[in-house]
Amino acid sequence: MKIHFKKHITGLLLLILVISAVACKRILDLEPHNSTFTGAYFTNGQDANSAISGAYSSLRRVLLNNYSWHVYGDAPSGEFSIRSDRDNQNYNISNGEFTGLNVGSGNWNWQSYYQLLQQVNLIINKVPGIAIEKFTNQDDKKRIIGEAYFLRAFTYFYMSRIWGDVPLRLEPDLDINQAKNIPRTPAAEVLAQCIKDLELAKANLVFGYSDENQRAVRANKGSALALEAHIKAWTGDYAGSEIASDDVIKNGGYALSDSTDYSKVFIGKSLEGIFEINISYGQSEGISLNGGGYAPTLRRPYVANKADIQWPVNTSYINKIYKDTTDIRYKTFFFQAQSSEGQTIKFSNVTYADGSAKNDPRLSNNLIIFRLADIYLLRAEALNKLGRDGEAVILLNAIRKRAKVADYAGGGTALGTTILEERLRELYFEGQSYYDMVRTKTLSTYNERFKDQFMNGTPEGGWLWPIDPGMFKDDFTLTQTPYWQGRL
Amino acid sequence: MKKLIMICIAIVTVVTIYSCKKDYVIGGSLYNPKVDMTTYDYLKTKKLFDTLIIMVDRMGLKDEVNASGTVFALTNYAISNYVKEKQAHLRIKLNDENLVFTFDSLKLPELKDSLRAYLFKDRLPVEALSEVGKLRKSNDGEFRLIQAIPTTDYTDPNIFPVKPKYVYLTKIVKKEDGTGTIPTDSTQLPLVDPEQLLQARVQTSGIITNTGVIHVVNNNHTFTFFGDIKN
Repeated sequence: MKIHFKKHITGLLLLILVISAVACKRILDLEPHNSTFTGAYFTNGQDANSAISGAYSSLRRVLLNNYSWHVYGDAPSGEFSIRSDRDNQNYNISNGEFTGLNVGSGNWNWQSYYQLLQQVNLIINKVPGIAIEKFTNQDDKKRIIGEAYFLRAFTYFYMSRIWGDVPLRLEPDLDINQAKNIPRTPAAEVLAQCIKDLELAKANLVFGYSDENQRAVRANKGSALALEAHIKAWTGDYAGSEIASDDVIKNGGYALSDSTDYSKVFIGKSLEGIFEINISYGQSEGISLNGGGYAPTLRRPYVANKADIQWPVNTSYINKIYKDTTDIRYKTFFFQAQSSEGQTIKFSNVTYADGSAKNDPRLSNNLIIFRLADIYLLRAEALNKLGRDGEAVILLNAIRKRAKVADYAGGGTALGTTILEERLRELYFEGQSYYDMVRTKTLSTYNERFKDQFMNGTPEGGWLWPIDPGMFKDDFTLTQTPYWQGRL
Repeated sequence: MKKLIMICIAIVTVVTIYSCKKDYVIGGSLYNPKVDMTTYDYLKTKKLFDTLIIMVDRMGLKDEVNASGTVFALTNYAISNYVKEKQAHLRIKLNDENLVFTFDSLKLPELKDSLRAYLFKDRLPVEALSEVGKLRKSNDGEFRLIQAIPTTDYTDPNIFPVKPKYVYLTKIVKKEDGTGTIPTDSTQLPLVDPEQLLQARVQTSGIITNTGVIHVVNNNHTFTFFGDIKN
């Protein structure tokens, strides 16, 4: 019995020894499964395609996170009378208090933007090295490279409008241990790089869409030109902006939607859309308003069971801008705009995932970044600045005609103001108004809270955002935005 | 042996039942909507309504308040909002940007009917109200839509199947372009465009006094719905 037992034990031990010796090798993979940092990835067209999809999804996250597209682009413009009791953070932001109570890291930190840029830089770095035969559709290679350059230009332009100078990082960090800290690059240099990127984007992209499903939600040559027109107008190069926007209008294949189909433009993928972020319940990508999604401009009856409106319209702003009673935009964009709970219903395509119980609302409107009407008016602005009022009026009146507003005949600075206000009317709550006011140096006219801190739109002004002090601890090269130094 | 087990079970049962009796709530009290006062006296005990009480006194509405089954009580804020809106309105109308208008400038007797629009003969506790709501005649003869609408603003409907309800006092007006009918009884409600509804939410509902029910209209409301410019 005892001997038997010993034999068993020895046998068991031997078995364990053998198994463990062999097993280790197989359980512990020497190469990570999903690493994008080794030669294991970026070997074929499939990898390149999923990498660019990943970049778009990062962009979506960045623009939706903290509601930032509208918080940066709309809240401080004075369009809304944000309720301090229901959304204190954005109430402070709308008053220009970018360091106010409850305003914080989420608004100041740009790290998620650099995660997106890392992905884009990787694509730019790696995809050209993939042999063309490895792509199922050989047009994809150029297109993906072009889209990556577009995304990099867009991201840096977007960041530079928020913070001014931002660190310009053009190479991916392939080894995290060798990642270097870069100081903030002057805004002019960042924007010049954006234009360089766009040249490459334009060379790699074409107009139009072969797959209608990708309309506007994937960048094409038209999106790149629209971005170029915006960047050049922002830097004051109106001659360049005029040329780029002309190209979009003439060759992009876009068309203004009819007055009756107006609201469809805001659902997305319309012929008017130039660049959009895909948000579609039909594709299971709707925003769940109970699951962290935010729809502060809506309440009942547009979102059943939602009693509170956090961002009611600013009635006096509305009455200042929309003076024309025939303007169909007033009826299409707003609900009870004259009340203290006026809703902005541009983006109110809500579907209920639980059907008639209506407890689970999902918002299904694309985030509109560029659309044709925006480019029409941007070109009109450029033409007006270049003294070509005759051509500017034609574009302006095309937009007014659709909105059923009488034609405008005038010129000079009066025309300039009309074009700006037409933009404010047309692009209300589309993340543009604040930057339109900054670009045309009229911010303090429309939101008097910025009277002292706007400083005529110079880089010293408080229209730029402070950066998160939390980022300084890992990066000693960073400095605070000039206006906010000593104010945080 | 069997007996012993039975006794044990009995003891355990008794202990289990009685051990639960002690309440673990420290502080606070059970919700009791009833106050042992008349509506007027109750409003008088709360500072939030002292402006309302001044108005009621000067308009001689004390008895009518106590005779009303339901009172939508206005807080000081709601009346202050009215005074502010009125000042802004008069400044534009009379083209005098320095015009000063205060509570003392109000001609209270003229506003008597406006205040009576917040008083209702019927007793309307929250349980008597529905989501669709009914048109009710207020003491000044105007109709108001009174509803109790469920909300999910603060609860997850997947966890709490019973949703909390907000009470709304709604004035129905014409649309901005002047069209739309103002209904005079509840059967006409389906014809009303949502744009015609000016809602005032109740912040504290169903206070039951000896003479009726009080619903407190939220602080952001403006007395007479004056804040809604096209009204």
